[in-house]
Amino acid sequence: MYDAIVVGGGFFGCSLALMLARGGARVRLLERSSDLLTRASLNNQARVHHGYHYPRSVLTGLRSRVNYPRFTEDFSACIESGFRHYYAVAARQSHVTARQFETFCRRIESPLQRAPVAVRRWFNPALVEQVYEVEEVAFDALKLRAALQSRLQTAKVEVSLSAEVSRVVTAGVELATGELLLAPRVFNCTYSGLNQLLSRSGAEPIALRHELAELCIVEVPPELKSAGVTVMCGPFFSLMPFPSLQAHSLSHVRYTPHCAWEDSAAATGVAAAPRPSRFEHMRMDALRYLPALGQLRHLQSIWETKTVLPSSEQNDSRPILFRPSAVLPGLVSVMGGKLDNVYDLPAELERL
Amino acid sequence: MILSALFVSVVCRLRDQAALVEPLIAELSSVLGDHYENYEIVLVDDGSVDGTAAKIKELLSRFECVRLLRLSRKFGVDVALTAGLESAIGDYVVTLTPGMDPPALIPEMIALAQRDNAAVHGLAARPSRPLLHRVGARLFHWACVRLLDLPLQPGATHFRVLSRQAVNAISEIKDNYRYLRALTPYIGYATRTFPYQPLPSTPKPESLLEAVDTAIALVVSNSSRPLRFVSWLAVLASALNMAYIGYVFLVNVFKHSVAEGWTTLSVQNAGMFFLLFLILAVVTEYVGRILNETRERPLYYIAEEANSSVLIPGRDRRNVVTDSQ
Repeated sequence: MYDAIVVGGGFFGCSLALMLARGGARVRLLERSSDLLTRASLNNQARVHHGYHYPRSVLTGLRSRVNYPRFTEDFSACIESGFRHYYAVAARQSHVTARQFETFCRRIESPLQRAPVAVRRWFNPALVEQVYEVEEVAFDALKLRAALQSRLQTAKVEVSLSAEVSRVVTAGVELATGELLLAPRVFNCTYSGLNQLLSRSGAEPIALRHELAELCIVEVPPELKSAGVTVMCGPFFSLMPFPSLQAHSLSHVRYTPHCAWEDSAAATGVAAAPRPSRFEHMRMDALRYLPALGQLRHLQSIWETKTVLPSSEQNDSRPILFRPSAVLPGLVSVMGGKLDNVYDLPAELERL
Repeated sequence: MILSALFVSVVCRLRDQAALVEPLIAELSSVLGDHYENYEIVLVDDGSVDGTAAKIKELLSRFECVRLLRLSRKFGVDVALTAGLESAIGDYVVTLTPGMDPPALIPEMIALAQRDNAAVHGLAARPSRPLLHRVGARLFHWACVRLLDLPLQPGATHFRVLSRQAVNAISEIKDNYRYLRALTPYIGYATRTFPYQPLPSTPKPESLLEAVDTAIALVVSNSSRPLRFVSWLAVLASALNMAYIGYVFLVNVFKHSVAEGWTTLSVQNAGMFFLLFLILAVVTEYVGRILNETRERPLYYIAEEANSSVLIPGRDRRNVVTDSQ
């Protein structure tokens, strides 16, 4: 008998289990894979958001700005900060102008300064309106995993790896092995698998949108080795250091999502189908804005299912989804849009 | 067949052509997919009102590498194509008129562009036009080449291949009035022509009046030669006036009955007014143009962009090669 069971050992599942255990609860964490943080927590841009990325959602920008110092302090050993991050505002097709971006940063009180001339010269002036230098770090997902593992151990959370949950029942879960674990609270932190677990448990589904995302791992020219570049705000690209592989990641708003779908039978297995990489598309477009990219070398592509709330499509917001089930008492579905807003969770837990 | 590593972009402008969308995308996809490893089809919807954009969006879940740029209203062929050019990412960018230019010819044109390192312009045999239109067009092209320093190609269509270099050069031109037909020779670089037979579904040519209108706009935007002619005309008129003053003076000195001369006076007046208004007309055109250029408004507005989202790729593609290399 546990106080709480957390299904899903990603960053949010682990953090939630830690919060509960530190509050004195007896917690069991169940992860399907053979290790923690193997999916979306590992396969993403590794960006610790400082607010700059969300000029169209002041709330998300502000919360990121507020939570950023907490995250970088909390996980200081997992942070890669030895690089400069540049945000460029595109001249055409951008949802914000340089002026609006400056206003936004003033509103959320994020420091912003224009990039030095030498950096501006990397960019194509016909396509880029303005370039800013900001403070924004990346995290090393492997170090993050190690940090969480040791914290979970210290907090005496019982972690089960390779543990598949077949369904959630009233006051407990049933494992694929048939074993029944009891707890008054069950947290569904399975990200792209949220609805699969809900439907297996007979609970009502949540409207979610999934994208098959391709993240290209690349080797950049020497002068860009210690730089991150994000072109805003529309169908543009982002080049971020990717600490766990000692390389950079290249993602593109237009080309990274290969396809999108809502949960339905027709879409199962989409992520598994092999696809040709769109690295060439990303490279060709990035070169137009950033001719300094020159010889960009493609090392590998990381494929992952990215799940977003349909409401985020319109306004760029990335809130935490925190939704108690109406059918199964004690079951709560939790999904975080990005790592640093994990600090918005405790208040919700208290309200339960 | 070995796929070429070239990245090819195809830009099409669509205006109320919903029925044409599906066969167009299907044919382009099969031609490009059979020849190039990487390609994209950029469809620019120029403010259609017949659901062309909706039709394209439907097809985004079936065809890969298709992009839709929907302009906020009708901007015209040249601006719509420019919007596409500015967003295309390929090594070579092909522009074509749907329903008129056969997509099957694209690989041949690109091969020519690549071999000679040049821009390639399609020349279509024009459908028959009325005599006046034909003579007018001949005269216009003669004047453009001989008098106005505008090397236009008679019969040149929007079917062309531009290298990345040429596309970048065109993107840097910020004119609000733009005629790609005149801009592509303007930026220089080598060009080759490519005669072809347009499809039978070719839209009918513009009327004589529209053609004259386009011709005037094209000349005024791209050549300052008419202004130069006007300057010479003004100099000539002044000289004539000077001569006339001398004539009047001499008449006054040597003749005693000066009451006549009404004819000369009227002819001189009429002649001068004729020249004056001609000069005014040309200057007005240019002043209007200057006004519009100095406003520096954006050339176009993109209302939305949508991209392919195919759940299972290559469903219609056969996984067969005919060569082991």
